[in-house]
Order: sequence, then structure tokens, then C-alpha cells
Amino acid sequence: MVETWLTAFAKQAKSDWDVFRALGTFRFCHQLHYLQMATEKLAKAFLCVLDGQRPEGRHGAFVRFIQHSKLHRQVQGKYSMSRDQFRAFIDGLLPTAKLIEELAPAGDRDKPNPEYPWEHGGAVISPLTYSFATLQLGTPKMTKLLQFVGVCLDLLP
Amino acid sequence: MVAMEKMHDIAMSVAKDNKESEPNIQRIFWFPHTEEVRLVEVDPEALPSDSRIVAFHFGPGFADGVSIPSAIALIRPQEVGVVALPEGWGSWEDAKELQVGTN
Repeated sequence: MVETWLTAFAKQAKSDWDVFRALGTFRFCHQLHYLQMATEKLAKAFLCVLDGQRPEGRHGAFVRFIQHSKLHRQVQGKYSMSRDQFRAFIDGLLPTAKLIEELAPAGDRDKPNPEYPWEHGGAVISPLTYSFATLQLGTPKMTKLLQFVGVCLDLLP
Repeated sequence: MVAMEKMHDIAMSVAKDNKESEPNIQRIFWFPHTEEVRLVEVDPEALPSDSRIVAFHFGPGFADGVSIPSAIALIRPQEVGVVALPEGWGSWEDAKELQVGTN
């Protein structure tokens, strides 16, 4: 089978997702790192066009993808919800999706991120010891988002 | 390849469905293409576009029998006719505004 940008991004997103799910016994920052990468590649896969052009390389596709997904009938079909319920459901995912998207260390060097140490108030902070309190995996909002990511990954080739 | 008249009908179907899914959508522009429904939809709550419109590609297999893939982009009202279209979509002059009613 010939690899395309779509199949390659789909494959990478699914692999990142598998690693994310396998990292439960490691430090939380490593899980978040792979979650951020999986969600970005998931969105990039949906940016890939049929004629095989490479999606644009910029970061920040995940929140935009979530916003567009309320128009995605295949995704809607996976949830037993009315249109209004589904729209509210998707809108409810956006704040958590934004937090995940902002984990990418691009831009501001001194912001919490799961990869590189940063400085805050004169103190150097390692991702290993940072709580990432707003991104704890067991919360209802995060659980909904993770389930949604799983549903969307299943739609990819 | 599907005849353009049929593509228009499919585009209208997708546009109506999208309007029902997101009542905030104010206007919908169709960019005719024979293999894919290409829509730019105006939503004041859309994220601002950067240098070019970002369209997400959704595969075929919709529940209502529409089996053509679609590419949909949400933009803000002030971006209509201004922001650059995705590669290969032509120009804003190629756009046909679809009248799908308002809620």
C-alpha cells in the first residue's frame, strides 16, 4: 500500500495514542506529551486532502478540528445525541482541548509544557515535578475528550 | 466524477445539515468541484484564520446517503472574500453562496 500524507499522519497519531495509553506508570508529563502529539496529528490527518498534498505544518490544528467536528456527521453518528446536545457536547470539549494544544512548547519558553524545563518567578521548574492540575486524566471533561479522540482516531484509515 | 448539478444538490444537503448542527453559521459558500463538496461556512465564533483558510476533510459514508467526501472550513464574517482559500479551491469569485435559510 502506498503511503500518503493522510495514512502517514493517521498512523503516527494512532501510534502516539497507543504510547500515551501505555505510559500510565511513568511521570504524568510524558503521558501529556504523547497526548498532545496524538491530538495534533489526529487533526493534521483530517487536514490532509484527497489528492495527497501535505498539510500545513503549523501547530494549533487540534482546537480548530474540534470546532469543525460538530459538522462531521460520521462523528455525530457515533453519539446518541440530538444535534443541540452534540453541539453543546463539542463546545464543552473546547476548553480542555485548548489546554492540551497549549502544551506544545512552541513560542513562549517559560510556560508549563511536558517536554522542557521553564522558569517562573526566578525558579526553574521541571515538567517531571509540575502537577498539570488542569489536565488530570480522571476528570469528566478529560474523560469525554479522550473518548472523543478515540472515536475520531477510529475514523481514520 | 459526479455531475455538477448533482454536486450542487449534495452541497445543499451538507450545508443544510451543517446549519442545523450549528445555528451560528451565518453564510455558506460552495466552491464547485466534481469529486468533493467544498464549503466555507461563516461562523462568528470560528477561530481566526491565519494566512490561509484551513479546511478539514471528512470522508464519505454519511448516514443520509450522501457518499461524496466533503471539505469544510469555518471562518469569521470579516474574512469573507479576503482571506486566502485552500490550495486548488480557485478564487472567491468562484464561490456560490448557498441559501439554506436562517433560524
